[in-house]
Amino acid sequence: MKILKFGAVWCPGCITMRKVWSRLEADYELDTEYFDLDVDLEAVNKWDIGNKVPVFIFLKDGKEVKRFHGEKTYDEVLEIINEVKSL
Amino acid sequence: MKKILLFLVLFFMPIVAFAEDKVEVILFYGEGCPHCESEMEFLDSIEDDYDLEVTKYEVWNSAENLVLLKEELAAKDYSYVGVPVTIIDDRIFIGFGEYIKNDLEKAISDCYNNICEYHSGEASVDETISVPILGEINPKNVSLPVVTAVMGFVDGFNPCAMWVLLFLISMLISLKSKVKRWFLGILFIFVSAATYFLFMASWLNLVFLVSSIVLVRILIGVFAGAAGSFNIYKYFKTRKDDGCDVVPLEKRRPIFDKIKKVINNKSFILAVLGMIVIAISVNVVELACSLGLPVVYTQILAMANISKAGYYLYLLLYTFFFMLDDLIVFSIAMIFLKVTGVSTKYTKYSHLIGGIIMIIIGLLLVFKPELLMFG
Repeated sequence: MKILKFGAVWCPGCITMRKVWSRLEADYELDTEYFDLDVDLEAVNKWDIGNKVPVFIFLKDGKEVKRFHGEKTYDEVLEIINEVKSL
Repeated sequence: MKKILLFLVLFFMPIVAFAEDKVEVILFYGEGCPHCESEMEFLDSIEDDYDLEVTKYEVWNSAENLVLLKEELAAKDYSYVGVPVTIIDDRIFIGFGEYIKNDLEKAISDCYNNICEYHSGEASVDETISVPILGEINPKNVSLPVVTAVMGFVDGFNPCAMWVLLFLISMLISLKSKVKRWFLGILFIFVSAATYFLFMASWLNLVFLVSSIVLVRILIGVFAGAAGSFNIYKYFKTRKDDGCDVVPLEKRRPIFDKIKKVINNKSFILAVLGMIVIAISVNVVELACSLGLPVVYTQILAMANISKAGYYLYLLLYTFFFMLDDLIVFSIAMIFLKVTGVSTKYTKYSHLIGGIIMIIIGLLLVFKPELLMFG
């Protein structure tokens, strides 16, 4: 499973989620990649990010299986990770 | 001497009124007080109709006149809370506005017709309102500084210009010069605050010009209700859909490019000038985004019975609380060299709280404006 994280330096919600992901990445072995909305335009267009950030896309075998946007707690994100893992 | 003159005027007032059909009015006012000016205009407009004789005492620049006013009030078991104070026969009117205007004219009209038989005291006003959860409250007990702080603080959570500040901070953090980091950031916040302050001061002066028009107050009340309802709608619409709205690339790209250019400018003076231009332009463009609360607040301020300097001090206080979250986010970032953000959850709650405040104030502006007349 790979997780694509889309955010921006000017978005308070992205800053909040950065802390949540830092903890998750420290606690579990996760394959994640961060894309900045102002820098990684190609990836932003490819994954059709929409008009809300942060956006998190879960991939399995290169295919999108789940995505969510906005702020969530550590436990909520962990639940989603486990849900995707069990797919 | 003035005391004696006042005593004589008061003592002989009924007699003079009876003998000459002249109505004596004593007005205690403060220089530059808009409500006093409104009352003077009102008295001027009816002067000929009732053959008025208005004796005026300025109390903000004359300690003697202030003592005189306090004595007059104390004699009738009142304490000094502000001006204008009007004495007609044995009756005292404190403040001036639509609610007191009719009573004032009635008192003058009665005196003109030689029936000055009043009970001592100011015009009575029902001052309590029923608020869900809180029960019966008297809004006048909630002081203007508290209203200012709460409204300014809630307004500050509006994220309109926050995205620019956060981008700026992320750029500033990479600067080697600590002085330049702090200076450019504080400058941006200061100029943003000054722009907001000037906008509110201009709006306040506009409100003063038309404050005597009841329709304007009602229109602002209706606007407050509509803006408040929209805020609450926004809260419920985005309640489960948080995150940041993506500012269109064509809008954010030019601003970010300018910020990068300014920060990397080797000339400190050009960087400072550039930062001022960016702060003004960003805040002017984003003004429309947070129009509701400042417009409603300036209306409340315009109705308050305070000195001219007081109005601007309150605007400063409002602006300070408006910028408080920006200051905190900036200071934390500069001290710990780490960007922090106010969770979008708080922004959503600010929509809800701001919406409720605006609806309550809108209703009061339309139906019970006297409850919003502080001071």
